[in-house]
Amino acid sequence: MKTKPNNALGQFEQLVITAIIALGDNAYGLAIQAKLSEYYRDKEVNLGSVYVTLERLEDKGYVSSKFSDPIPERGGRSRRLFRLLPTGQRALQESVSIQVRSQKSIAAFWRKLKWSPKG
Amino acid sequence: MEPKGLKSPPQILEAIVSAVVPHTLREDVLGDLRRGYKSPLQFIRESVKALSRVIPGRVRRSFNVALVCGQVCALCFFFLGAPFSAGLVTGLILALVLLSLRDGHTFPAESPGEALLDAVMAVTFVAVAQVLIGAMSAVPRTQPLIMWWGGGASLTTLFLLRMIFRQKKPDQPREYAENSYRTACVMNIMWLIAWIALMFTNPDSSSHIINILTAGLPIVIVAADFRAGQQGMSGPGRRKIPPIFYNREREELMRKLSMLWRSKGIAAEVLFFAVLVFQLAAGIVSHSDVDRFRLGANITASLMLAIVWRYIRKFNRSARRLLQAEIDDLDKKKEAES
Repeated sequence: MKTKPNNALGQFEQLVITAIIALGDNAYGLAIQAKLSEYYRDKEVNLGSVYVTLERLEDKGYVSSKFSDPIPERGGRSRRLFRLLPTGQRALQESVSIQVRSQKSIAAFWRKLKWSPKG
Repeated sequence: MEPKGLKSPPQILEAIVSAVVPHTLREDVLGDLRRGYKSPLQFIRESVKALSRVIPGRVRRSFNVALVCGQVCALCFFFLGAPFSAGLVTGLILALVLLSLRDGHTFPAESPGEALLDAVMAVTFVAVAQVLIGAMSAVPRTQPLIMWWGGGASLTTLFLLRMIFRQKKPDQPREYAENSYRTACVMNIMWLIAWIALMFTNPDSSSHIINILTAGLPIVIVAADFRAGQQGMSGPGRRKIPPIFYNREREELMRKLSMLWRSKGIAAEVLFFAVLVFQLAAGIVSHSDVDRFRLGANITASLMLAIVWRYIRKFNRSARRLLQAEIDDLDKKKEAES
């Protein structure tokens, strides 16, 4: 099943979903932020952007969330754990395949430039 | 209970952030900020950074064109009798910004208490801005009577609007249908009151007959259309119901259904708007020295109300569908029983 064009994933959304997959059962705001910083090679990611993106993904029906038990290190507050849904998996697949196709055409363009006869 | 050796942010800072963070993100944001706490300064920096994204994101997410148009109407409209001044305009803009921030803060739903608090805050902003700027400069201030009347009307309308647009969706289908019906009725009545009030602020025509006709006709049109929707004198659709389906619950639902705006035909709406345009045009033609500011504001308010009507129609249709589904459900049950 293809996702609608207006529900296509942006680059940051794609990275957030990838982070959720990588973190498994431990995907919550701060951990996702740390994972994203890793992806961006230690460039700091705004925690607020992570929350906003997670909420958007939840609105689109790509991820679901549930609260954990209260944790003392968090001052007795719970973690909101995120999980990828099948629709999110499909959206990610679609988004990655678009990227692969565009990468191929970019590579073809560069090859053409490199190999084109000068005269 | 907290593990020893872990630093925690000062309570006052945490309380401030807690008050600013939107309801549904409080647990996440405060927990994460506390987990990454190093020093008060770092806590403030991280909080500001996170909130600078969270709040605009929330405002964007909660933005509702119909609600904003309604709020603009409610605020501008009831101060139409007041002279235009910097204080009034500043107060109105501040109040609208404040309401949008509150929308983001309380998204997705608001309790009646929160809706009332928002309405009180918005109206207070307009009134205080008026008084302060009026006291500091020579700009003419709104007359106290207009302020009291306008403030009271704005407060009620804002409260109702926020209750309509920001109410929590009930889980039970029947409760949802009943809620939608009540909301649609309130919206219809409010919209009509707003139009009538606006008509009184439009410039009068020099002909008394035109004035009387244009004042009475919209009410006659609405009443006639409503009567036609009632489907005869014997009550709402009673003749069409087979005796086997007679029951009080169904009759009550049918009555409610007939109270809503019908989606069939646009003759009444076209006639209603035509009368209003005619009234405005007759007033403009009769007065060569018409106040352009007032006229502009009235035309803007009319356009806003026309836009809001589109949403009200949609809401009426949706409420009708919900009620009809409940009626069909009852019929099916009755049929299965017999």
